[in-house]
Amino acid sequence: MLRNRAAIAFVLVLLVVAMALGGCAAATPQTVVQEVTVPVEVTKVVEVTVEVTTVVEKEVVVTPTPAAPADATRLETLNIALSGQVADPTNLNIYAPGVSRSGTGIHQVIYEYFFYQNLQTGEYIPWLAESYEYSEDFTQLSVKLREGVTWSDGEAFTAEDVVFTYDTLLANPGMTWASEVTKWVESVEAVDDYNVTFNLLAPSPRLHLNREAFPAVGIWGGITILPKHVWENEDPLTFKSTDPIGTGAYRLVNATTTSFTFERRDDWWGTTVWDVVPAPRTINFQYVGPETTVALALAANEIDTPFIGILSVGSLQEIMRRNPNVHAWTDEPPYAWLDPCPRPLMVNNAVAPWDQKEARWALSYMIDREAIVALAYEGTTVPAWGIWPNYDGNQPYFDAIADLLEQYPSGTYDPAKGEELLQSIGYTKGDDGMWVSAEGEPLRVRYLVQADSTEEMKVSAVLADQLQTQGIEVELQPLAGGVMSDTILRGEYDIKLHSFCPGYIYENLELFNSKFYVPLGEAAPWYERNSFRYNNPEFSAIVDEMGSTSPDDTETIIAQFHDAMAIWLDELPVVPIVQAPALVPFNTTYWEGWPSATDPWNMPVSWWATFELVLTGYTAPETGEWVGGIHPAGQ
Amino acid sequence: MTAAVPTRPSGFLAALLRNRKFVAGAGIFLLIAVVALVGSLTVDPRLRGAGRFPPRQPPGTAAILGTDTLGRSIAVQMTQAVPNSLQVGLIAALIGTLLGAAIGFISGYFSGIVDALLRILIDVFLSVPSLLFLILIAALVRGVGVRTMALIIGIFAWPSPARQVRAQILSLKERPFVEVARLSGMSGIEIVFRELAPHMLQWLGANFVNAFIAAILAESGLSILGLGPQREMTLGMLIYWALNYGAVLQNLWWWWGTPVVTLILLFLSLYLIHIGLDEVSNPRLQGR
Repeated sequence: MLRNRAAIAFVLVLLVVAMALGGCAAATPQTVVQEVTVPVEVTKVVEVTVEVTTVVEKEVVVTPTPAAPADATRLETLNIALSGQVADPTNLNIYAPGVSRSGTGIHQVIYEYFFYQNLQTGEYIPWLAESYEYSEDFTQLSVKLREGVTWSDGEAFTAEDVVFTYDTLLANPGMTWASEVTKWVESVEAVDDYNVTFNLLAPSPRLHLNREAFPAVGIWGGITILPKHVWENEDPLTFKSTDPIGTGAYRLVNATTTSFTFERRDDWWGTTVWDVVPAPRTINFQYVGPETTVALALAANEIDTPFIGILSVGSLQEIMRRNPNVHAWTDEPPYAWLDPCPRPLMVNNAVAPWDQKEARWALSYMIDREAIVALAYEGTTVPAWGIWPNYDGNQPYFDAIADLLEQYPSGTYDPAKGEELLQSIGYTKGDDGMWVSAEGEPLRVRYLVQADSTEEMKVSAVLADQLQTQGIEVELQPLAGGVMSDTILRGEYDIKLHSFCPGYIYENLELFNSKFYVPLGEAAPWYERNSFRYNNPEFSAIVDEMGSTSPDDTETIIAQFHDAMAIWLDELPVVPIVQAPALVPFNTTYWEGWPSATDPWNMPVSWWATFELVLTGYTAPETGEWVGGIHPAGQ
Repeated sequence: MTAAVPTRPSGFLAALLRNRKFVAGAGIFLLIAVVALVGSLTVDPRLRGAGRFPPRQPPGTAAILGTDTLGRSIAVQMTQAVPNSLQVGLIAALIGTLLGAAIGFISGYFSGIVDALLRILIDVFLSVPSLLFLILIAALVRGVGVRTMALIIGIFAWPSPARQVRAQILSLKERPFVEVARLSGMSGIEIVFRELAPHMLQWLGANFVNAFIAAILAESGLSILGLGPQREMTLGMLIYWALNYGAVLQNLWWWWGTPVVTLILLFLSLYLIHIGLDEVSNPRLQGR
């Protein structure tokens, strides 16, 4: 009996070893795929039955031929790797708090927006709308909608849907981003079927740039117009919208916790209006696993592009070595595209001792950003002193506050300064090197970390070590999914690394407006929209003034920016850490035409709503010519 | 009565020390444990942080066992991981063995309704795979620490020893010396723990080692699945991070190799100790 049990234990030992080496085993298919490359041309012609002629003609021109897939449908499928699972794949209500718009693919391929911004080219691209116009005093915005747009169930998209969506948002403050709509929009009226007028609460010359109040997307997402005929009798907070009806080029055919499958709609309005058919017949947004699994899937041509925050540069280099068809934004270091949403550390301004600016500044001085860049980001980014991307367009603003930055060196590592500040608010360093308050309480931070983000986990490992070394006790709390978003919004943290979007000068300052302040325990409007509970009326007044200044009046705005930053830098409501690198390679084995540094026609981001334009291409507003769109490799 | 060994503990120890398998196993085990424990006590805690060493270094003069991508020394991490893993094994095996023995003794000695109820309980726990429960519990209780982990594993380690102890007691209690004890006025509990328990000590020792192996294995398995103590380092968590951060893909073999080899050696040594104990306490196995 005992001998048997011992033998079983030994077998289990071997099992563990096998488990540990699982990653190795997974590496093997990669070699196989490379070996198959040779007989490609023959196989492919045989396999493609319907389009034989075209394929054969095209084959002559081809130089790098795609590897023969096990399944011919792979040639028509686009696979995108998600960074996490979706807890409830049946709840696709885009306005329900906690429902991911991008992690489910719905704002990329189901819903569409009035306008899209191409940050690479600076274009403002009409899509569901044709044009917009402000009234003289900027209190009204008229939008002309495009005719001929239909919902995926065949109903026409009209001004009624726009009015319905805004009425619903104004009546239900619990809907995601409703607070920003309520702040700017008084009402929306339908002039006729294809003309709507936005009546604004205050003069706003930049509503058309405000993604949280207007259906225009630059960065990530925007206000989404809902089909009135589907939503009108539903509760907008509890309706699950399991089979979402949108105007986009795809419809959802399957949804699980790990994968969302979309199929191209032959009746998409864009095909009628522009004579354009998006190339992929099927799109899968799928969670295949952690970094190594995603890397191997990319190398094995099972994935075409991953979301942000999954791959590290070491893995990317290895994939690029194994599979020459995998390209990053640049094929040389730093490989990454500069994401417009920098990564500061949100510090809870409503919890002691972090409600004191000295404590927040002490944190800032105690963080060695260079080490975070070198270790957690492996050199793919640079430290940040603020919350804006290092884009050329922002440089005049940065230059204007050079004096303030000298006075408040927010990106500087200077532990001695940090110690001084902590002592100034009554903390003393004990014999064990840890800080204690005058009451004898240890200085502790509750550090919230997104458990399924490789990026956040790595930063937390480095950052927690740094703070611990400085004598601050760090309590790491890795969470995921709905619990995570709820915990952030309710402000149940001391610090949390977060992306600050949209990254424009005014818009990112506006995130700190006191109008969005809610007490601890209540859900804040959005993560970076003040879940850290900063509250300063004086600062907010300046930001409000900025908001009502015409975006063209750069001189005034720069002066206002200087005033606002004099307060912001003094108080440092969040602690800037790094610029955000988007390390997102594309696999050109099956699909070509991806944006890259050599052909920067669009942004390389599959988690933004603008991704539909990467798939389809668009009419350039200046020239009227169709640009971009991905296409099957070799065509 | 060949099993008269318990009356001569020194003889038992001598016999153990003559058993080559036991000596080899104990030697390897002690070596790993002592090196790790001494390391954990002597290594400067500041060396544990990220960036204390150049990242991605293969084993060499800079770091004996190399470093990971965050610039942490594998050797330094091992000085935390091995004691933590051993702690899980120790706590879980203790809980499992003691709980199992107690339930087995009671169930075996007191027949009737008590036995029937306990037997059903044992059978239920035996028939449901404990790994299933462990995964469920660990997934529900996210953010467990090393001790909680050990507790969770321990409370599922008792059914097997319980059933075997019960069977032994059923046979032992019919022996004459138990009858004598009963007639001399000893209570049931006294008989169980003073008369019967000593006869089970060696068997319990062997079971303890076995449970120790199983607990370290369970901890590693759960950790590799991502359900381990995220904030502390164990052998399983070390493998988990290595796998998660692309160590295999980037060919940083020392990162995943060190904990894997250590686990193999730990299992091997405990297995040898187990066989050694088994052979010495059960002479029929000797020479086989």
